[in-house]
Amino acid sequence: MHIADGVLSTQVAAVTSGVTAAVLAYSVKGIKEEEIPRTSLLAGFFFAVSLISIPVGPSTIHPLFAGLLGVILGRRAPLALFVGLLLQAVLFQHGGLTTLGANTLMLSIPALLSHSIYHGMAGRQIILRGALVGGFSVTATVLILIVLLVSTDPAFTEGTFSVINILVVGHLPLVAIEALVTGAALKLIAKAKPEILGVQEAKASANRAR
Amino acid sequence: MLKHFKTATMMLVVAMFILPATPVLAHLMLIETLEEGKVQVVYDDGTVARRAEVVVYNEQDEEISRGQVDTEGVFEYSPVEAAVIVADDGLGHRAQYVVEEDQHQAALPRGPTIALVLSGFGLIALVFHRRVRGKGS
Repeated sequence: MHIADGVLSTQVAAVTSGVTAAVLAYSVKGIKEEEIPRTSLLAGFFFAVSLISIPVGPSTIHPLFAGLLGVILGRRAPLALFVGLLLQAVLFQHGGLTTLGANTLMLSIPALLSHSIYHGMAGRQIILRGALVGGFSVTATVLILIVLLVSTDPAFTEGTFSVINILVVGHLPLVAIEALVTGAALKLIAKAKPEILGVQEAKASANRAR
Repeated sequence: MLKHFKTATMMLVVAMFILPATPVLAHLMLIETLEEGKVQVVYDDGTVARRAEVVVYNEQDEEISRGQVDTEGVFEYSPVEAAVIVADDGLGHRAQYVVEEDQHQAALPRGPTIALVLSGFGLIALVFHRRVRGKGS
């Protein structure tokens, strides 16, 4: 998500920046050296993939993959998302520095929730859980974005072609795309390198192979 | 190993400071002048912003004109007094244009910049991967 500078009210920008600082502190705390390569590569993946813009209706949408990052990185996801967004804001003016907190937050919360959902459903088919968190993360991100916009200015809800309606309709294809890709990607990872998804997943995979 | 880590950190820090030093005006949304008193609002992938609202301010920061762009993203205003033009599509994209300021500064080349950033992330990953492997053996 790339809310530009000047769109959010000062209060909303300040509160979201504060919350993001806390989330980042949680994300960085106790990070181990062996987690850094994964975090770094996924930050790069997120940076590149969310620069792809797909024109839908009057605006453009872009892939987010907060769900995928959340499942793989767990509590390190906000760190990767923050670094990716920071570079996008500084290099391409996608988003802005005052809204960096809001942009990080609206991806971090879905990412962290995706991690709990995915691992809370251990035993179900991987592709299903992946698709579920892929779709869920986009939906949750759009919901947070709507909350932020409305708390800045309630006028965003007015009219049939209101911003809110456009955002919801515009992101429906993305829900489908991310559900498919996240499901497929996690299935592939679970097959090729199950240790990335954590100990439980690796054990389950070893049992199946036997 | 520590040496590698230092080199990588240095490279990343240098890259982070050099890159933004180049003037960039490539917003996700852009205001382009077609002729005096006529601007077009577009996204950086070339599509037209059809629902943007444009506000024109004078030197004293007072609003002198406001309106929606047409289906081609075009907005016309009286060029007298106009100093700053702000466009907002209400979806989180916003662009600002200062009249009579040279807008033709080079934007960062997209492809090479992305490639550089990705190699930076790759390098960090590689360095730490090696460090961890080195400890394990």
